[in-house]
Amino acid sequence: MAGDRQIISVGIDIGTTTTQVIFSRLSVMEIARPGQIPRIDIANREIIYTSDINFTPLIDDSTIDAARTSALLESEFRQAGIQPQQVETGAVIITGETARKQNADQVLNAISQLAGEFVVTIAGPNLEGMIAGRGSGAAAYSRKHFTTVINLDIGGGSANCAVFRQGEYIASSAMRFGGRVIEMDNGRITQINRVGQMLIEECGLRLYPGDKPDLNQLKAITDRMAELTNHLAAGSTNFHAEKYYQTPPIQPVSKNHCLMLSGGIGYYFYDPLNIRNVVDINLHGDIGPLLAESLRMNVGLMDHQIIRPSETQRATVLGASSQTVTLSGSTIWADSSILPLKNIPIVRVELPEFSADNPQETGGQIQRELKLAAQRWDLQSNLVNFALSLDFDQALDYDQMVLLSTKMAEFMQNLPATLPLIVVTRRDYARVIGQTIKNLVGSRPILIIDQVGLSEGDYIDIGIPLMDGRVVPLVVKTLVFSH
Amino acid sequence: MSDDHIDELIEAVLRQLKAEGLVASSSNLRSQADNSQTAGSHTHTNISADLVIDSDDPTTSMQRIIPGLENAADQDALVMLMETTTARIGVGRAGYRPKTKTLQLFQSDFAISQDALYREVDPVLLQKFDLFQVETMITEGKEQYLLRPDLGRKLSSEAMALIKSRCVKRANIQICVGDGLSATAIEVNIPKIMPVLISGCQSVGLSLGTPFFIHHCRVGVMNDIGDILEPDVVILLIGERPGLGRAESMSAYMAFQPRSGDTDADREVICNIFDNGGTNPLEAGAYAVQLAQTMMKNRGSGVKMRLSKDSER
Repeated sequence: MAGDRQIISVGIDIGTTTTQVIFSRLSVMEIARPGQIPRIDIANREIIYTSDINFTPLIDDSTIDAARTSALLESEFRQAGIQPQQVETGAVIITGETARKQNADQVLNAISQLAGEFVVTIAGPNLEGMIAGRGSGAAAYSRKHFTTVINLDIGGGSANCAVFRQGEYIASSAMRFGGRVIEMDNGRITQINRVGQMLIEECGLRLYPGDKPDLNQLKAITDRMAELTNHLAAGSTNFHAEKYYQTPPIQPVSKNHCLMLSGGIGYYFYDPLNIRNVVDINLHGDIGPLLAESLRMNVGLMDHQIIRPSETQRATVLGASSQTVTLSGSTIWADSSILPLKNIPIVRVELPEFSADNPQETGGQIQRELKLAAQRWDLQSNLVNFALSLDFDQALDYDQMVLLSTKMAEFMQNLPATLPLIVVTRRDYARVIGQTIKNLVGSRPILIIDQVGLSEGDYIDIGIPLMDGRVVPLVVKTLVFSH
Repeated sequence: MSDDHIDELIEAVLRQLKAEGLVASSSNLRSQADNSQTAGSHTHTNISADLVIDSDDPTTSMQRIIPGLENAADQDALVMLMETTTARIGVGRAGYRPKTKTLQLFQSDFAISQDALYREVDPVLLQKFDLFQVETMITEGKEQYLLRPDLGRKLSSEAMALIKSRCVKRANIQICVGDGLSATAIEVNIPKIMPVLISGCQSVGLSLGTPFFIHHCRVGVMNDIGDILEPDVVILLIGERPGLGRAESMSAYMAFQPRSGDTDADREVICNIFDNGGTNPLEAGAYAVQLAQTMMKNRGSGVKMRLSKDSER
């Protein structure tokens, strides 16, 4: 029996306010009991280095200093004693308002030498929420307690909401607000960003940089953000909330769910500061601690069962470091010569109900669905790598499996012989489809993986096979892991 | 007893059954019963022909996760919890006793297990896959089979002769099917796994022996087969001991050059082969082909193969 294999994974979170790094050691090992077919999974995630929470180096209020950010990260790598080439997986996340800033690409360029072969870059409010929820422990809590958890990760510039039901990611949404919409120094406003401006106006206030606001004025603003948070968690919206949403609201979830707060604001939500005056709240040069206080006092939010997460401030970076990579099923079919592959778009094929007595009709339907998928993605003319995600939820007969394999092989005939056939299924059929299709496609490379659920529009990175080629690591860049 | 009185009694009984959710009544009758309840009086009901005094099949996966427990603090969580186990949790109770539904499910599950054990594999299936039948040393039926595992591990002399005369010797892969403790498992899984094994072996160039069916079969019979036919690998597909309500689980036992005296330590097994919950038979077949290749490469199976693999490292 092969022993376990260890992978070093990095998480880098470059946020509006702070930049953090975490290195984790993931142990990949056999978890199946004897007699079961093999099952390889990430059995252990151990944090081996946690950076300080550094302020993100900025040139001005809207530009990250790429060179200084890169230098900061290099020094963290040195302190951790880790060479960039040791890092096999992980993610760089540029979060919050920062992600929308024009120099995000510049930053990524500057740090590209630090990111190893299989470290992915992700940004986007939906993904952020999910990663924060995995890092905070919301996903794990929902699995352990057979419940639904809404994780609210609120930082300097954005509030991300993600819903987990029994460990599975269900939905996410985001709004643009956070503790740093108004920056302060010693009781005096130093800076107000666009969102801060909107909030001030909605509260009917007049505040400008240089002003010394009183506590009640600031409280009105943070109370307003608490109301927005309420909308975010409830999946509701109105004329005002609409302006802050960066994504569509989540679908409202069942009544029995818990709430977790993470991010910098989450930290002060559970460990509040003793606030007597304006100066007390300016510990980090912004109004974050007061926002936490408003959340604590918000009737709508406190109506829920509130759970303390295992990680607050570092939830996103921890999620990026230890929760972004997943493994395929352990009976797969992989021509490893084509791996690794990056940014493979998922083309979902909706398969018909397999009829037992009319295979001809089913075959025709499969053919049609494949053709539709090809048209949707213009596969014939694009000729780039893509993966077919087979959507069916029934146990297959032998004949049905052969029919499906045959139709996919036929479908590929019109495409160049060098283009690999990549198939992803949620159900455990990869090995048998691989065995069958191998004889039908000649020299075309094939990669069939299972026990991963993906949706149309997802992109995946597929790494080099591990454990004698029995599993491949995957990073799904747009949501839904199934495992 | 007047007709009216009888009608009234039936009506009362039906209402009780309906209240317990045991009667799937027509919507017509249901609305009448509801009316009578709201009116608080007994009304005359024509017992219509479409009334069914029957409950839904309690053994479906949907039915199994309907909680019997009332007023759970978190109904969703209870259902999720019930989905994770086959243990009978969340069933509630009626006083000190189990609810009727719980008892019905238990009895249905027990019947499923009994049926699997006492049925014989459908001869049509054996014909379809060209499986001729041989016997073990069991001569007195299922009772003896259950009481004497040792006799189920040996082929009868007629069986040995028949196998010698009809089978290809020294093939790479010898596939055999045995009823074991569940005929049901064989009937549902063989149609799916056999073609995968056969086409899988062919596509990687492994030669196949002549498959056959062993009646009253125990796993140990693989040794006799190895002695007679000397294949590289014997794959025995055999019905597992049914669990309560779980009859379709099959195992694939595999051994490299089995000989008399070999034990389970010399074999590999892929167990829990069934659709919807276990390893599905198609994927299990493909994995078995892969495992057979590994066994041939390592020229061993079971503990010996593992030890030699570990010493390589």
